[in-house]
Amino acid sequence: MKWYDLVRNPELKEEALSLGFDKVFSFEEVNAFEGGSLEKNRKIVRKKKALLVDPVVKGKEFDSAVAQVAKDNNVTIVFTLKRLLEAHGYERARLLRAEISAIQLCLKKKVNFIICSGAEDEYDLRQPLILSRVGLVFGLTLPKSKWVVGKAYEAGDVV
Amino acid sequence: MKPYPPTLREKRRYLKIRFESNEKLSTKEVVKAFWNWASSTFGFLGAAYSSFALINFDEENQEALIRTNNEWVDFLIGSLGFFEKVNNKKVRIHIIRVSGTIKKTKKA
Repeated sequence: MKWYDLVRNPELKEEALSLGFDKVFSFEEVNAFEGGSLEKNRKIVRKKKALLVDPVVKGKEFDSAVAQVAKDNNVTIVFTLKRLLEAHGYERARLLRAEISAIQLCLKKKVNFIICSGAEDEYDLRQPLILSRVGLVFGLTLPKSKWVVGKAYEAGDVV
Repeated sequence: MKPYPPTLREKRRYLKIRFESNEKLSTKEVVKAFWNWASSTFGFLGAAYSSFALINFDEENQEALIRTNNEWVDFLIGSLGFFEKVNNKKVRIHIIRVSGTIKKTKKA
């Protein structure tokens, strides 16, 4: 199985490869756009084959209409570990809850989604072994959790 | 006391992990940070169900041995992704080996 990762800082690509990833991409290389509000998300999902990064903040930014448009335009939703690491305490719990809801919506609407580190510095990087199990924290099964760090990239034409 | 039959015994898993940081970490710091992380991530209920424990920490190699059970091992590995700081020093965890015995885990 091949492991992929997406990082914010392109200088970290080599270090990420040394951790065991097969390919690492920076956000600049792929067609990735930061979401966060309903209007931003709507704008991004209208672009074909784009990547919508971190669509949720509180939980109402990613609804079924946005998910349906994302499905129609073959848009991949990206959930980064970095966003969760930045939040602490109640904020982290609320963000995780919002991301779990968004992932459940993606599963229902069959929208492609991936989980990546989104690293800005070397301490944000994670091994493929760890990243492939982070999906369990989001409520996915183990095979699905591995899939979002590997074959989901191929399914979404990110690779 | 009559021992538990093998089918009822817990299947333990041991993880050898390395703390990657700019500065050397002491055992005291790591133990404190580890239990802070465990209590904020799992709570005492999760720690009990997962039989989670920090067995030892080697200050020289910055390596630790942790214990859990076979049902929780993947979830624990996933949640190690949220471990970020020891005494305000940024760290990254590197998993070296996962095994069913301490002896085999230490060999890696």
